[in-house]
This record gives sequence, structure tokens and C-alpha cells, in this order.
Amino acid sequence: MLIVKDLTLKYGEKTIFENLSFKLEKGQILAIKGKNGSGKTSLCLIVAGLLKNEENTQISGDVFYDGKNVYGLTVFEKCIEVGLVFQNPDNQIFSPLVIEEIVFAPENLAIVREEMERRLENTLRLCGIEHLKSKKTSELSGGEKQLLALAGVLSMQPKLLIVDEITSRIDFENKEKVRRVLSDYAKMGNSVIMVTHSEKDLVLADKLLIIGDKNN
Amino acid sequence: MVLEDTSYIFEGGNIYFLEGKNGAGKTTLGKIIMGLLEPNSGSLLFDEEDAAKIKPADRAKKIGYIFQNPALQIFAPTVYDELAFPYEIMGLMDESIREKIEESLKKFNLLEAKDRSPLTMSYGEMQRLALAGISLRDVEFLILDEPSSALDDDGRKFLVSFLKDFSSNGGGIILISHDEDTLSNIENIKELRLDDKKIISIEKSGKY
Repeated sequence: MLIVKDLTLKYGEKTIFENLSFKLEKGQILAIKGKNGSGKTSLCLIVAGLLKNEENTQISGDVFYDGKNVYGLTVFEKCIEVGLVFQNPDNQIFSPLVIEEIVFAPENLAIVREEMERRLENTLRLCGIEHLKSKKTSELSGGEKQLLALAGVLSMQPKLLIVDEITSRIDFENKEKVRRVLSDYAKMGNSVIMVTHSEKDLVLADKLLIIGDKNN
Repeated sequence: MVLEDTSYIFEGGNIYFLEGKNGAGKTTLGKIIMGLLEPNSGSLLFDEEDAAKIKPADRAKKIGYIFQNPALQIFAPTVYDELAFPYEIMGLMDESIREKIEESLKKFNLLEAKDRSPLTMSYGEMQRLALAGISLRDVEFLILDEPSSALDDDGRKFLVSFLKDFSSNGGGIILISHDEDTLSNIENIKELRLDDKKIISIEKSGKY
């Protein structure tokens, strides 16, 4: 279970959101909506343990996965607990080849070769990008990169999957595929957080969080 | 091969919705029209004038382009500077332009952000800024690549109204998008599909 308790975020003097609290059980999908600049992506980064207190960033409150504080987890533990698909896939895709992008995480998590290959084939098929298997990532369109980013994160099999505007640039046929993937992923007992403005994406959600004007 | 022996006439006053599978070449087509990519063969005509004979700066005066990733076209240190840049660089900045920029900031809900660095903006805010930037220029045609992918509900409503105004004033728009919610709110769009390397006109699908 994910528990977010009294979470407040400030960038410099500006309060982005304050005293945000919610829970997410295993098997549930939470959709997050809100005005541009309301902190949806920042919230995802905090829950993934990627945004920290720094000179112009002040975070207070707690985020727990199954009783463990996210900021107390090692990098390895974070990788197997949570996966985040960025709003802009160019910010997370770094391997020159599609295959390398998907196997990078399992390889570094010391997953055995047979299992790594099984995950590679499975995620390519789930995300509808088997035809891109031998391509360079630099040759991919924006929507193809979104699908690749999702495949790369799914290959880690995180217990909490966070997707930020995942269907925004995907073609209509693949949107439905991705929605089925998210729904099935939750049914497998995982938790899913989905930042979206799409009405059709919202239909998948068990819970809805609307962020705006510091009141939630 | 991304595009092959395909032809189409885009006319002012119309909103063309260009759809197609991911990787079909929609962004590539947009970039060719804008002059950011050269085709291997074929020709591009603007009002019957060969695009190859038009200087890039003159082409940019006719066509406004929004990248799929707006961060690729935003570079100024502040939001205000981003909008002021074309006028500063051409020595055209005066009081009437300053007023025009302030109006644009208000219209696109960017007034509070005017002194902010675009680097601190969310993706949706950057999309609004990119739109504000091209709206200030008196272009004849817009090529918008996923302009609403990160916009909130208000931003999408505003985009729809902006597109309708632009086309009703004679401007042409090529809209590359997978945003079902925004598309369903635009009337009289001409649906095109990029399929098997060709531009195909679709009879009203009834989906939008």
C-alpha cells in the first residue's frame, strides 16, 4: 500500500501543494488531474523518491510503501518498488538501441539471462512495439518513444507504476492497448498512478485526485 | 522510406487533422513543410511559388510551427523575453509591441509567469508559451505537433477557440494530434491520414 501523508511542496517562496494525503491499495488505479503547474509531475517525482529537499525545493510530509519511507530506500529497493514513465520520454530514454533500453534495468538488477529475455519479449508485445525491436532509439517517433519508455519501466516489474500523460502522443489503436496494459497491471495486484487529462483514461481509475490552488 | 510520391493541397481557412500510426511520418511531413527537413524528391509550393526559392526567414514569416516537445523551441531566459525575442532581434520593439505582448500573456494565462524562467515551467505551461509565441506572429499557416498533449482542461478549451479564430480569419492549420477530447470539440475539420507513405483524405469518420 502507498500512503502519502501531509505532503507539502514549495519551490522557493511558492507553495505548489500543501497537506496532501491519500492512500492507494494494491490492485488500484489512481488518476491525478489538475491545472498546468499544479504539481502533478512533481508529486510523481516525490512518490518515486526522485525529488529531494534542496536549496529551492522544500518537501515536508511522508511517503510510505508498505510501511517503508521512500526516502529511506536504497536505489535498488526503489527500482523494484516503483517505476515512473516520464511525461517526456526524451528525458528517460538514453540507450542507443531499443533492446538495450528495455534490458538495461533487468541487467543491472542482476536478473538472470533467460528471465531478462522473457521480459524483453513480453514487454515488447504488451506495448505493441515488437516491430521496433532492432531499431535505434534516435529513429523513433514521439509516440513510439512513449511506448518504449513504458516497456522499459514494465521490464522492472515495479509494484507501483506511475505514468505521466502516457497516452498523450500514442496513436488511437495503441492508446486502447496501453489502457488495457494499465488495467491488467493493476489486476495483477500492483498499484498504478496515472497523471492524465484524457476522459477515456479516467474511466480506468478507481480513485481520482484533483490537485489545484494548494487545496486538494 | 517515410513518404513516397504523395501530393496534397492545403488551403487557408481550413483545419486539417493529420492522423496516423506512431512512426507513420506525421512529424516528418510537418518538418518538411516548415523547411526543417529536405525531401529527397518532389516539390513544395507556397501560393505557387517554389519553396526552395524562398529564404528560410521568409518561410518562417508565413508558417508558425510548434514542436511536439515545446522545450526544443523555447530558449529565452524569461517568459517575457521568449515572446519579445523576434521583435528585439528585428529592431521592432516599441510601445505597441509591448502592449501586444502583455495582451498575449493575459490571453494565454501567462501573466503571472512573465518573469519566470521557462525551465521552471511544467510541460503544459511550455505548450501554452509556445502557442503564445506563434500567435504573436502574423503567419498564414500553422503546423501544430501535439499542441495539447499536456494542456489542462482550460488550456484545451482555449486552444480550440484559438484554432477556430485563426481559421475563420483565413489561416490554415495542420494539426497533428492524438488528443481525442480536443478533436471532438473542433467542428468542420478535414481529416487526413498518413498511411503507407501517402496522405489520404478521409470522409468524415464521425469520430470527431
